[in-house]
Amino acid sequence: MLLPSRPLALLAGGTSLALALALALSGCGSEDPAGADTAGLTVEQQALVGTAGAEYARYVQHETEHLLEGTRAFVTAYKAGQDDRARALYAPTRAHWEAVEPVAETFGDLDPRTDAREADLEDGQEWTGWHLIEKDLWPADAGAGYVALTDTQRTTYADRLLSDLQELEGQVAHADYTGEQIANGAKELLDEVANGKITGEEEIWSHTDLFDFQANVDGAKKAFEVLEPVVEQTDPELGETLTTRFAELQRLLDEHRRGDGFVSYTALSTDQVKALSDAVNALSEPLAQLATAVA
Amino acid sequence: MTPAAGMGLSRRGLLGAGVGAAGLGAAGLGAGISLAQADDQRVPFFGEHQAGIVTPAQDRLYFASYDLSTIDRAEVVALLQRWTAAAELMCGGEPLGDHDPAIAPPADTGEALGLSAAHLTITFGFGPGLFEKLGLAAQRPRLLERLPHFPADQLDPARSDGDLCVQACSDDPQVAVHAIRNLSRLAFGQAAMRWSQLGFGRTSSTSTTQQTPRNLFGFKDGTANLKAEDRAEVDRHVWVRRGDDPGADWLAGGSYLVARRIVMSIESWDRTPAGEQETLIGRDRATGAPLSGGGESTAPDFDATFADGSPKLAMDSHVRLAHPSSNGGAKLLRRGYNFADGNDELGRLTAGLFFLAYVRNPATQYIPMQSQLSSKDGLMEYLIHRGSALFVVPPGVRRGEYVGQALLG
Repeated sequence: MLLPSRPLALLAGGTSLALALALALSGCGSEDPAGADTAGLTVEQQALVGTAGAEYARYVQHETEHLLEGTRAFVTAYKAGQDDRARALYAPTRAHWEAVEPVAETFGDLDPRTDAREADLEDGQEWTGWHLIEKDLWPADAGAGYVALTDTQRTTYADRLLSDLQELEGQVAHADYTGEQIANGAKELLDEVANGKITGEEEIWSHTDLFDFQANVDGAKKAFEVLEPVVEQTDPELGETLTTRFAELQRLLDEHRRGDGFVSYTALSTDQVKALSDAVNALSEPLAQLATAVA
Repeated sequence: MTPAAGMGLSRRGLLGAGVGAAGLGAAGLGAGISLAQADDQRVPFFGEHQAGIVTPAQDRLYFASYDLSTIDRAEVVALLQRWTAAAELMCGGEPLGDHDPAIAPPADTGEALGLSAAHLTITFGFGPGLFEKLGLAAQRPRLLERLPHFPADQLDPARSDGDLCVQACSDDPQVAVHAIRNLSRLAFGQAAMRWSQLGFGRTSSTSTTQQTPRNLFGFKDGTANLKAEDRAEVDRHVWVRRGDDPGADWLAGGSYLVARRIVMSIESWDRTPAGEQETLIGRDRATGAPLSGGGESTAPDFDATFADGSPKLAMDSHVRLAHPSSNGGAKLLRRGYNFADGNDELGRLTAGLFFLAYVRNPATQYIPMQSQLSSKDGLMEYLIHRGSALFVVPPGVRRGEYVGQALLG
């Protein structure tokens, strides 16, 4: 049960305080038109959240299917020593993982098994998953001491990745999601961008961070879109702000498209990274208010 | 400001029910969480001029410069309305929210809960870019331009300029940081931080009640600074008057703010003989008295000579070159802070003076003086100017208004 009001409307929706202040200044209006009270959803709104949950579950399953399909091709190429093909498949395949990563993170140690970065490991912890293979495919920055994986090792780690992702597919088949979970997942996806992709620390060998960036944003946008019918009723101003901010971030990301994908992270200037970071902040702040509008 | 305590209205009641704006702020918070109602550590936010200029200089500073990320005037107005409301609350020692649902991020970041306002002032300024981005060329004060390149400037663009600035001063560093952090959070989408500067110790006194502090050269600094009590001098040298700039009369009651990040070659200075240090500054290190004689507050005598005829105050001494008599009578209200931002890769302190000065006319009061200092001051051997910005500081805010309303309203 929620408290009967939002906290100070300073943050909510980005402009609520201005609206409130304007009302106060004009001395008119007997109700807050933003309808910011979240004393609970109506039965109809709860039904909309239920629909959103089902739609989001389908999205997660769909993304996971694409992830499996791509990963099968990826590991086949990698095991066969077709490194160019494996490199080409790496980022577009991982995008399907990045789009739903907060869901994957809820299933035990599936996330560290598949997505740990070398720097994440503790002493003695075995390194498996995407980034181990990434390093093997892009050894240029790995230093002179790097020893390429043997064919046997390649097969071991590639098969392990595939089986871990099959486990994910099994898990998401039965998962369902509350409005709050979907909203918080969107917020976490933007945190992923802010803490990993915007700094180029996610893909330190392949520098394909912008693929992940786009996928995180896609996943967050989908979460917002399934919840939008609820938000339109409970906090339309927040909905408008989010629509605008998603579009602004996408416009900036689109500037870095090349062919079917994106330029290398290393091609970005400091100013370009700052502009992307500002747009991520501009989106993340109202996105953090989404949960209160749907629960 | 005496908050209209005891109105007994919840904030929500205020915001939702359209109560007059006079109630917005401290009074609206309800009695439950007020932490600073009873103390006297609050500086009024509202007034003819913005607080934080002639307010007795607090011990700590956090200063931030922002780039606008919108060219939409209405969005900037909304930002300034949010900033005004938040600044009033924080200067009153109040948090930005008092009851957060568990599933929402807290409205206030929390680190100042339980602390007094510690004389917090929040002072807002506009850079040249704001006028450019909002298409307000006609209202732009004519003296508001990027500062010129001064000799020996080695500016870092990432530590210079900006479309908006906020100076948060408090006797408690946590309170100052809390203010900038929360204002930055309220700005996401409209403005993004460009650079910021912590200052740990004031280098100027702006009131006769304050002792003159020392800068990181170890000397008393700003002895001859303008003081709030000298109302006539402050009026003459700090506040822009109606008619000063007929195209920008909205700025009347405001001021220009010069910000310079000046890094000191600390290690070299510390190896400089005491006598040479005093000669370079022009003051006695222990007492602050000018080398021409007397006590700290004695006016320097630039004609005083030693027996051999050489001046007691060297021609390239800082006191001589910075003195109003060497600058056509120009005076500044200095409000700078010492900073130490860790060290460089060679293990040298990255420390110095974050120079802040308020002037009525930068073209006559600051630029000629800095040009002279940059080219002649013997201290320049130990100084590197790394950051630079010029802002206008709008006049004070009345209840029910937002900062900058005279320009954007």
